[in-house]
Amino acid sequence: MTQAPDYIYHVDYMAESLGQFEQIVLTAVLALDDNAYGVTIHAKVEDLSRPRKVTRGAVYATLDRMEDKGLITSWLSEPTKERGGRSRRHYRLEKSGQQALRESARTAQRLFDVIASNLGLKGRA
Amino acid sequence: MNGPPPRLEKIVLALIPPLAREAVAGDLCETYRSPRQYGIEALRTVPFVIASQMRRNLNLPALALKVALAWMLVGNAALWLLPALMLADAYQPAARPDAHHAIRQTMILGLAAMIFVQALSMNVSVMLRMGLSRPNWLALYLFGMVVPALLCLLRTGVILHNDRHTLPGAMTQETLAEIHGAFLRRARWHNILEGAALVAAAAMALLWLGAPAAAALTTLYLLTAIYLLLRGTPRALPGGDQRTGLAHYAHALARQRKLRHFLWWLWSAPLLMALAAQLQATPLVAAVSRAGLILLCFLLAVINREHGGRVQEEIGALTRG
Repeated sequence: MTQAPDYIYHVDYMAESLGQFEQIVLTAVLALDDNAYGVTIHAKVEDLSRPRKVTRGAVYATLDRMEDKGLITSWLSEPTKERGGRSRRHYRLEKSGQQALRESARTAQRLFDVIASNLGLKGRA
Repeated sequence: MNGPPPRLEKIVLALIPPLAREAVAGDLCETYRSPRQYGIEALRTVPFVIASQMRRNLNLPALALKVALAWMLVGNAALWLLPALMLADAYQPAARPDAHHAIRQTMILGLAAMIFVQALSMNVSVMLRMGLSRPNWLALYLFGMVVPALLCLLRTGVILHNDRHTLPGAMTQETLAEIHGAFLRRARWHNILEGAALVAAAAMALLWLGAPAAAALTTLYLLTAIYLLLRGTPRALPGGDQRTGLAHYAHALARQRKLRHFLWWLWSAPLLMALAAQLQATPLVAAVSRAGLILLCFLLAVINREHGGRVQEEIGALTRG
């Protein structure tokens, strides 16, 4: 009987697999570091997914979903005047989020390498 | 810089679910350029936020149980209740109502019930058609007089019970570990005891109730007991800094709240079923059963409202600053 590969029994150690939009949102949170909140994340996501337009609502929904998965955490800052006396909800990437993002980057790199060698693209992903 | 027109802002605020209101309304305000841009942005954003809050606060077992109980009462019309209940979950309040507001609401509800009963008792033709004799509707009238006081007492009791809990203040890593440890122990014991009680209740349901209600209740009680004992207790604090710990604690609090919400409805299910079965009995018994159903549903709703609000206040305090 053929023995099953080892990784089949180690599902717990695998990073959460991310959809493309989730990757973009997580990358935006990572890039913005301490300044990651609704408005800035949305702007960064729009920038990363050019020329596609992204609604802010879709970004909120994805942030909520990733928070529930434990990939990011959020907290409310002090209220500010420019926001009508309301707080910002700041986001931060957790270790599991970093791991998931690394895993996605590796997959993207492998895809890029295959596409580049077949279609003759230049540069690195 | 100018902000959005107050009236427009008020409408948008009312549409955003309370748990996301502060951050979403703040973001909309920060990017405000004109009333038109603000309105369009709100229209594009709010549906996603509502859908997301519906998903986040979805308590599938509780929802299924409520719809099943409603189905016993009103048949297929109960399916209309499904979207309404899901929407109500999305608009779950971020805090408890203040005591004055809660009591005022209860008094209005009680008085409305009393006026309804009084109006019914005055309409003799309706009473005769229902087959109620004079002494019976007098009893009903007296019951109507007692309802507001009874509802207010129930509401006050729930408010007082929840007021005994204090919110956490500023926390260090050590106090967080301490508070979370106590929460973990409390939740573990609570779940063990409630799991054991559910097993006992399942056995009693099997002995005392007739099929198919007994089979359904026993299965539901046993499945819930197994879940409580195996998966009910929250996990220990993960490694990482205080922010990660606070987020984990807040998540565990929200999960336990959903569990308790379902359990209150589950414990009340046999009583609700028994009362629902009496609705086909004599008019007086049916009327009293209907009143009992309303009172019990009211009690469950206010317990969930107060407890849920208190947990949300606690989560809010944990995730602020």
